[in-house]
Amino acid sequence: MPFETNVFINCPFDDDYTILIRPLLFTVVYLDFEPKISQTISSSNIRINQIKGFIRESRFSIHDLSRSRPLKKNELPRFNMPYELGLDIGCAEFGSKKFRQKKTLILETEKYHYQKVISDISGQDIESHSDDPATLIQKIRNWFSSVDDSRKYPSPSSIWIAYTQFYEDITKTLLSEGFTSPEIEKMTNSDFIKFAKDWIKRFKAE
Amino acid sequence: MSVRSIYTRQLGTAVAKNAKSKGLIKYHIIPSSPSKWSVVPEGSVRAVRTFNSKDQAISFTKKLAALKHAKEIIVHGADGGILSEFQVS
Repeated sequence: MPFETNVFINCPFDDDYTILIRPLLFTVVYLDFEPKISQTISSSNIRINQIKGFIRESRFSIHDLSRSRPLKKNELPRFNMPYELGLDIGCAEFGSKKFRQKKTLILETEKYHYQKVISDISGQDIESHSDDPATLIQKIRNWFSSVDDSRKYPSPSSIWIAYTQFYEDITKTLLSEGFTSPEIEKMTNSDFIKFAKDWIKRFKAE
Repeated sequence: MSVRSIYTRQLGTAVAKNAKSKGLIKYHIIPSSPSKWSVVPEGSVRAVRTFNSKDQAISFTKKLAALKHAKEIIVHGADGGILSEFQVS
Protein backbone atom coordinates (compact mmCIF):
# COMPACT_ATOMS: atom_id res chain seq x y z
CA MET A 1 0.00 0.00 0.00
CA PRO A 2 1.25 3.51 -0.71
CA PHE A 3 2.87 5.84 1.81
CA GLU A 4 -0.02 8.34 1.41
CA THR A 5 -2.66 5.97 2.80
CA ASN A 6 -0.70 3.99 5.42
CA VAL A 7 -1.38 4.75 9.08
CA PHE A 8 1.12 3.61 11.71
CA ILE A 9 -0.74 2.76 14.92
CA ASN A 10 1.21 2.82 18.16
CA CYS A 11 -1.00 1.61 20.98
CA PRO A 12 -1.01 -0.86 23.88
CA PHE A 13 -1.94 -4.55 23.64
CA ASP A 14 -3.64 -4.62 27.05
CA ASP A 15 -6.94 -6.48 27.35
CA ASP A 16 -8.63 -3.35 28.69
CA TYR A 17 -7.64 -1.49 25.53
CA THR A 18 -9.65 -3.85 23.28
CA ILE A 19 -12.73 -1.59 23.58
CA LEU A 20 -10.67 1.22 22.01
CA ILE A 21 -8.33 -0.51 19.56
CA ARG A 22 -11.21 -2.10 17.63
CA PRO A 23 -13.13 1.13 16.93
CA LEU A 24 -9.78 2.78 16.16
CA LEU A 25 -8.87 0.14 13.55
CA PHE A 26 -12.42 0.10 12.17
CA THR A 27 -12.35 3.89 11.68
CA VAL A 28 -9.02 3.80 9.86
CA VAL A 29 -10.30 1.07 7.51
CA TYR A 30 -13.69 2.77 7.08
CA LEU A 31 -11.89 5.94 5.94
CA ASP A 32 -10.03 3.87 3.29
CA PHE A 33 -6.66 3.99 5.02
CA GLU A 34 -4.40 1.00 5.69
CA PRO A 35 -3.58 0.38 9.38
CA LYS A 36 0.00 -0.66 10.14
CA ILE A 37 0.11 -2.23 13.57
CA SER A 38 2.67 -4.52 15.19
CA GLN A 39 1.51 -8.01 16.11
CA THR A 40 4.78 -9.38 17.44
CA ILE A 41 4.96 -9.42 21.19
CA SER A 42 7.55 -12.21 21.68
CA SER A 43 10.73 -10.64 20.36
CA SER A 44 11.48 -6.99 21.10
CA ASN A 45 14.15 -6.97 18.36
CA ILE A 46 11.71 -8.09 15.64
CA ARG A 47 9.01 -5.79 17.01
CA ILE A 48 11.10 -2.62 16.98
CA ASN A 49 12.42 -3.35 13.48
CA GLN A 50 8.86 -3.90 12.27
CA ILE A 51 7.83 -0.59 13.89
CA LYS A 52 10.71 1.27 12.21
CA GLY A 53 9.45 -0.15 8.90
CA PHE A 54 5.91 1.04 9.62
CA ILE A 55 7.23 4.54 10.47
CA ARG A 56 9.08 4.67 7.14
CA GLU A 57 6.03 3.38 5.20
CA SER A 58 3.34 5.59 6.76
CA ARG A 59 2.40 9.21 6.11
CA PHE A 60 -0.03 9.20 9.04
CA SER A 61 0.42 7.93 12.58
CA ILE A 62 -1.79 7.59 15.63
CA HIS A 63 -0.11 7.20 19.03
CA ASP A 64 -2.31 6.39 22.01
CA LEU A 65 -0.36 7.17 25.17
CA SER A 66 -3.36 6.65 27.46
CA ARG A 67 -1.93 3.44 28.91
CA SER A 68 1.66 4.67 29.32
CA ARG A 69 1.39 4.61 33.08
CA PRO A 70 2.97 2.43 35.81
CA LEU A 71 1.38 -1.03 36.03
CA LYS A 72 1.97 -1.04 39.81
CA LYS A 73 2.46 1.64 42.43
CA ASN A 74 6.08 2.83 42.75
CA GLU A 75 6.99 1.37 39.33
CA LEU A 76 8.14 3.42 36.37
CA PRO A 77 5.59 3.91 33.56
CA ARG A 78 5.97 1.94 30.35
CA PHE A 79 8.11 3.89 27.91
CA ASN A 80 7.65 1.85 24.69
CA MET A 81 4.88 3.99 23.25
CA PRO A 82 6.49 7.39 24.01
CA TYR A 83 9.76 5.97 22.60
CA GLU A 84 8.04 4.97 19.34
CA LEU A 85 6.35 8.37 19.18
CA GLY A 86 9.81 9.93 19.47
CA LEU A 87 11.11 7.77 16.60
CA ASP A 88 8.16 8.83 14.44
CA ILE A 89 8.56 12.54 15.17
CA GLY A 90 12.31 12.20 14.64
CA CYS A 91 11.70 10.63 11.23
CA ALA A 92 9.49 13.58 10.24
CA GLU A 93 11.97 16.13 11.60
CA PHE A 94 15.26 14.71 10.37
CA GLY A 95 14.27 12.42 7.50
CA SER A 96 14.18 13.18 3.79
CA LYS A 97 11.71 15.61 2.18
CA LYS A 98 9.08 12.86 1.79
CA PHE A 99 8.88 12.41 5.58
CA ARG A 100 8.10 16.10 6.17
CA GLN A 101 4.56 15.28 4.92
CA LYS A 102 4.04 13.02 7.94
CA LYS A 103 1.07 13.80 10.19
CA THR A 104 0.90 12.63 13.79
CA LEU A 105 -2.03 12.34 16.18
CA ILE A 106 -1.39 11.74 19.87
CA LEU A 107 -4.25 10.37 21.96
CA GLU A 108 -4.64 10.40 25.72
CA THR A 109 -7.46 9.73 28.16
CA GLU A 110 -7.55 13.09 29.94
CA LYS A 111 -7.04 16.42 28.25
CA TYR A 112 -3.65 18.04 28.90
CA HIS A 113 -2.28 15.04 30.83
CA TYR A 114 0.73 14.64 28.57
CA GLN A 115 1.48 18.32 28.24
CA LYS A 116 2.09 18.25 32.02
CA VAL A 117 4.65 15.42 31.92
CA ILE A 118 6.20 15.85 28.44
CA SER A 119 5.85 19.55 27.75
CA ASP A 120 8.02 19.20 24.61
CA ILE A 121 5.12 17.49 22.79
CA SER A 122 3.01 20.63 22.90
CA GLY A 123 2.58 21.82 19.33
CA GLN A 124 1.65 18.30 18.19
CA ASP A 125 -1.97 17.30 17.53
CA ILE A 126 -3.13 15.93 20.89
CA GLU A 127 -6.68 14.76 21.56
CA SER A 128 -8.35 13.09 24.55
CA HIS A 129 -10.89 10.28 24.17
CA SER A 130 -12.02 9.73 27.80
CA ASP A 131 -11.77 5.96 27.08
CA ASP A 132 -15.03 6.26 25.13
CA PRO A 133 -15.18 4.47 21.72
CA ALA A 134 -17.62 6.97 20.11
CA THR A 135 -15.46 9.90 21.24
CA LEU A 136 -12.35 8.14 19.94
CA ILE A 137 -13.97 7.66 16.51
CA GLN A 138 -14.97 11.33 16.42
CA LYS A 139 -11.46 12.53 17.34
CA ILE A 140 -9.77 10.30 14.73
CA ARG A 141 -12.19 11.22 11.95
CA ASN A 142 -11.94 14.95 12.73
CA TRP A 143 -8.14 14.79 12.83
CA PHE A 144 -7.94 13.08 9.40
CA SER A 145 -10.34 15.66 8.04
CA SER A 146 -8.19 18.51 9.41
CA VAL A 147 -4.85 17.24 8.05
CA ASP A 148 -6.05 15.84 4.71
CA ASP A 149 -8.31 18.02 2.57
CA SER A 150 -7.98 15.81 -0.52
CA ARG A 151 -11.40 14.21 0.05
CA LYS A 152 -14.72 14.43 1.84
CA TYR A 153 -14.98 12.45 5.07
CA PRO A 154 -18.16 10.78 6.39
CA SER A 155 -19.57 12.12 9.66
CA PRO A 156 -18.29 10.74 13.00
CA SER A 157 -21.80 9.50 13.90
CA SER A 158 -22.09 7.52 10.65
CA ILE A 159 -18.80 5.70 11.40
CA TRP A 160 -19.95 4.97 14.96
CA ILE A 161 -23.31 3.64 13.70
CA ALA A 162 -21.54 1.43 11.14
CA TYR A 163 -19.15 0.18 13.83
CA THR A 164 -21.98 -0.93 16.14
CA GLN A 165 -23.61 -2.90 13.29
CA PHE A 166 -20.27 -4.50 12.42
CA TYR A 167 -19.73 -5.38 16.10
CA GLU A 168 -23.05 -7.25 16.16
CA ASP A 169 -22.43 -9.02 12.86
CA ILE A 170 -18.92 -10.23 13.65
CA THR A 171 -19.84 -11.36 17.17
CA LYS A 172 -22.99 -13.26 16.18
CA THR A 173 -21.47 -14.82 13.05
CA LEU A 174 -18.36 -16.08 14.84
CA LEU A 175 -20.43 -17.40 17.77
CA SER A 176 -22.68 -19.25 15.29
CA GLU A 177 -19.54 -20.73 13.67
CA GLY A 178 -18.50 -22.25 17.01
CA PHE A 179 -16.05 -19.64 18.32
CA THR A 180 -16.27 -18.76 22.01
CA SER A 181 -16.55 -15.24 23.40
CA PRO A 182 -12.95 -15.33 24.76
CA GLU A 183 -11.68 -16.48 21.34
CA ILE A 184 -13.48 -13.55 19.71
CA GLU A 185 -12.15 -11.12 22.33
CA LYS A 186 -8.57 -12.40 21.84
CA MET A 187 -8.73 -12.19 18.04
CA THR A 188 -5.55 -10.68 16.60
CA ASN A 189 -5.63 -7.13 15.25
CA SER A 190 -4.63 -8.54 11.88
CA ASP A 191 -7.72 -10.80 11.81
CA PHE A 192 -9.94 -7.97 13.00
CA ILE A 193 -8.71 -5.73 10.18
CA LYS A 194 -9.43 -8.45 7.56
CA PHE A 195 -12.97 -9.00 8.87
CA ALA A 196 -13.56 -5.22 8.97
CA LYS A 197 -12.34 -4.79 5.36
CA ASP A 198 -14.67 -7.53 4.07
CA TRP A 199 -17.65 -6.15 5.99
CA ILE A 200 -17.06 -2.47 5.11
CA LYS A 201 -16.67 -3.30 1.40
CA ARG A 202 -20.12 -4.87 1.38
CA PHE A 203 -21.67 -2.27 3.70
CA LYS A 204 -20.57 0.60 1.44
CA ALA A 205 -21.61 -1.17 -1.77
CA GLU A 206 -24.82 0.14 -3.30
CA MET B 1 3.38 -15.82 22.71
CA SER B 2 1.74 -16.12 19.32
CA VAL B 3 -2.03 -16.15 18.89
CA ARG B 4 -3.55 -18.38 16.19
CA SER B 5 -5.26 -16.63 13.32
CA ILE B 6 -8.99 -17.34 13.00
CA TYR B 7 -9.70 -15.40 9.79
CA THR B 8 -10.50 -17.30 6.61
CA ARG B 9 -11.98 -15.91 3.41
CA GLN B 10 -15.13 -17.97 4.03
CA LEU B 11 -15.57 -16.57 7.53
CA GLY B 12 -14.93 -13.04 6.27
CA THR B 13 -17.64 -13.54 3.64
CA ALA B 14 -20.04 -14.93 6.26
CA VAL B 15 -19.54 -11.85 8.48
CA ALA B 16 -19.81 -9.45 5.51
CA LYS B 17 -23.01 -11.12 4.28
CA ASN B 18 -24.85 -9.57 7.24
CA ALA B 19 -23.72 -6.02 6.38
CA LYS B 20 -26.52 -5.64 3.86
CA SER B 21 -29.55 -7.84 4.32
CA LYS B 22 -32.29 -8.18 1.75
CA GLY B 23 -35.18 -6.15 3.11
CA LEU B 24 -35.39 -4.49 6.50
CA ILE B 25 -34.97 -7.14 9.18
CA LYS B 26 -33.82 -5.22 12.24
CA TYR B 27 -33.44 -1.90 13.99
CA HIS B 28 -30.49 -0.78 16.10
CA ILE B 29 -30.76 1.46 19.16
CA ILE B 30 -27.38 3.13 19.54
CA PRO B 31 -26.04 5.47 22.26
CA SER B 32 -25.14 8.81 20.75
CA SER B 33 -23.56 11.71 22.55
CA PRO B 34 -24.49 13.53 24.61
CA SER B 35 -26.71 11.03 26.46
CA LYS B 36 -29.02 10.33 23.53
CA TRP B 37 -30.27 7.13 21.92
CA SER B 38 -30.59 6.90 18.16
CA VAL B 39 -32.86 4.50 16.26
CA VAL B 40 -31.19 3.24 13.07
CA PRO B 41 -32.45 0.72 10.48
CA GLU B 42 -30.05 -2.13 9.65
CA GLY B 43 -27.66 -1.24 6.82
CA SER B 44 -28.10 2.52 7.25
CA VAL B 45 -25.91 5.17 8.90
CA ARG B 46 -28.77 7.62 9.46
CA ALA B 47 -30.97 7.70 12.55
CA VAL B 48 -34.70 7.82 11.93
CA ARG B 49 -35.18 9.39 15.35
CA THR B 50 -33.22 10.22 18.51
CA PHE B 51 -34.45 10.07 22.11
CA ASN B 52 -33.30 11.33 25.51
CA SER B 53 -33.80 7.93 27.14
CA LYS B 54 -33.21 4.33 26.15
CA ASP B 55 -36.70 3.29 27.29
CA GLN B 56 -38.32 5.89 25.03
CA ALA B 57 -36.19 4.66 22.14
CA ILE B 58 -37.14 1.03 22.78
CA SER B 59 -40.84 1.82 23.05
CA PHE B 60 -40.79 3.78 19.76
CA THR B 61 -38.74 1.13 17.95
CA LYS B 62 -41.03 -1.72 19.00
CA LYS B 63 -43.97 0.04 17.36
CA LEU B 64 -41.94 1.00 14.28
CA ALA B 65 -40.52 -2.50 13.85
CA ALA B 66 -44.02 -4.05 14.01
CA LEU B 67 -45.27 -1.54 11.44
CA LYS B 68 -42.34 -2.18 9.09
CA HIS B 69 -42.38 -5.96 9.62
CA ALA B 70 -38.83 -5.97 11.04
CA LYS B 71 -37.92 -9.04 13.08
CA GLU B 72 -35.34 -7.84 15.61
CA ILE B 73 -34.30 -4.87 17.75
CA ILE B 74 -30.70 -4.67 18.96
CA VAL B 75 -29.79 -2.30 21.80
CA HIS B 76 -26.09 -1.38 21.85
CA GLY B 77 -23.94 -0.36 24.82
CA ALA B 78 -21.35 2.40 25.08
CA ASP B 79 -18.63 0.05 23.77
CA GLY B 80 -20.73 -0.72 20.67
CA GLY B 81 -21.53 -4.26 21.88
CA ILE B 82 -24.95 -5.84 22.33
CA LEU B 83 -26.66 -4.69 25.53
CA SER B 84 -29.98 -6.46 24.88
CA GLU B 85 -32.11 -7.66 22.00
CA PHE B 86 -35.79 -8.18 21.31
CA GLN B 87 -37.63 -10.34 18.80
CA VAL B 88 -40.57 -8.57 17.19
CA SER B 89 -43.65 -10.71 16.80
